[in-house]
Amino acid sequence: MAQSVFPAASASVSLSTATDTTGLTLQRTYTSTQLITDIPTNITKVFAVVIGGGGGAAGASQNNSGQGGGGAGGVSTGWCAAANYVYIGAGGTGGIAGGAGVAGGASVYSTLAASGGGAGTCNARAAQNPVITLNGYHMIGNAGAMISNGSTAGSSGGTTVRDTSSSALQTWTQNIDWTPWVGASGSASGTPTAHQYSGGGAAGLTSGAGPTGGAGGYCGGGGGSGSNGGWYNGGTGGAATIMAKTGGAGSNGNGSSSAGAGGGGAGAITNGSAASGVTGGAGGTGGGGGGGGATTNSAGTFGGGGAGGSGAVLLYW
Amino acid sequence: MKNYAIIKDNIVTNVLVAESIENLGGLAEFAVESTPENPAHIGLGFDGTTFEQPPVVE
Repeated sequence: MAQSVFPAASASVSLSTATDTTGLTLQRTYTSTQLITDIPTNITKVFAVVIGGGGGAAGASQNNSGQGGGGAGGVSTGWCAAANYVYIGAGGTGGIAGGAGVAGGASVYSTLAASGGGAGTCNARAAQNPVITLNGYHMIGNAGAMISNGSTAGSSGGTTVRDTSSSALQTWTQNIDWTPWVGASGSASGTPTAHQYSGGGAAGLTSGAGPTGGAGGYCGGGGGSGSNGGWYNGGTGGAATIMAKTGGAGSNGNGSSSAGAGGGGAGAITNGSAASGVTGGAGGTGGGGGGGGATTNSAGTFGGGGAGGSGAVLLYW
Repeated sequence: MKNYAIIKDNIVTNVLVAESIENLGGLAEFAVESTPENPAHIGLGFDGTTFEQPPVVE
């Protein structure tokens, strides 16, 4: 597919047109910030999939609860002018024992941008939501997960997009230089559910096995860790369904001495990593969220949360 | 690969991954390396040496 397929100047680009890569060929994949010198000069517009860095998961807590996985990176897609620089958001660092993870960084290519996934949280700590202003728009990556005073409230991730003049979520079909931005939202509260583009991190529960991270088309959220009240298993990381990547496996709670950690969410480029003992698995490259950390025993040694995967930019033409 | 925080008015506005600071192009002059020991958090501060950290709940 070449430039002749671009919509006419006055056309309203539909969401399906803006997100459909059918007939296009993946030509370039970038996973780090760099000057681009290899796009042919006759290619002036490209279809880009821009993915923010995955959020880091929470480290183990001391209250017997499972901990949250990091949210997958946000995803923006659309036609845009070919640009000579690409900025890739870093994956968030996993939290140390007792600490929250770090949110992922935003990725930017041409007129498209995607925020990083939110960090997984630990205990009742408020999530650290990245709020980024680019090209006049706020992008808000929701927190990967949180526990609120013993309840299981809150598990969301990925990117939502809000107009600067309104706190309301926007239906994102707006043209900007031929570029509809698609703000991918994460899963809702409770057990993460699949989302079209990026998945939410799993919530840590006060009792039971760690939930699976939310699946997304391009990247999945991290799995939650199991609680150590019954030494429950950690949750699997969410899958990236369009890119056919899998989340990492959670580790086993061995029944007497440790809870299981959560697996890393799948990225658009690589699978998520499996949890190792009480340490959460890392998210896959391309926006996967990290898996939550777990606790070895009630006396307490604590595993760190998995790091989020770095973002990516995919170019098709 | 290294992580670089982009600083504006002593606030972390983004964190990018790059092979080296030279790869950041025009953003290099605003970049400070973020490490696991001193991680940058988007939206929080930077005092010239260390990044502001979220509060820890015991």
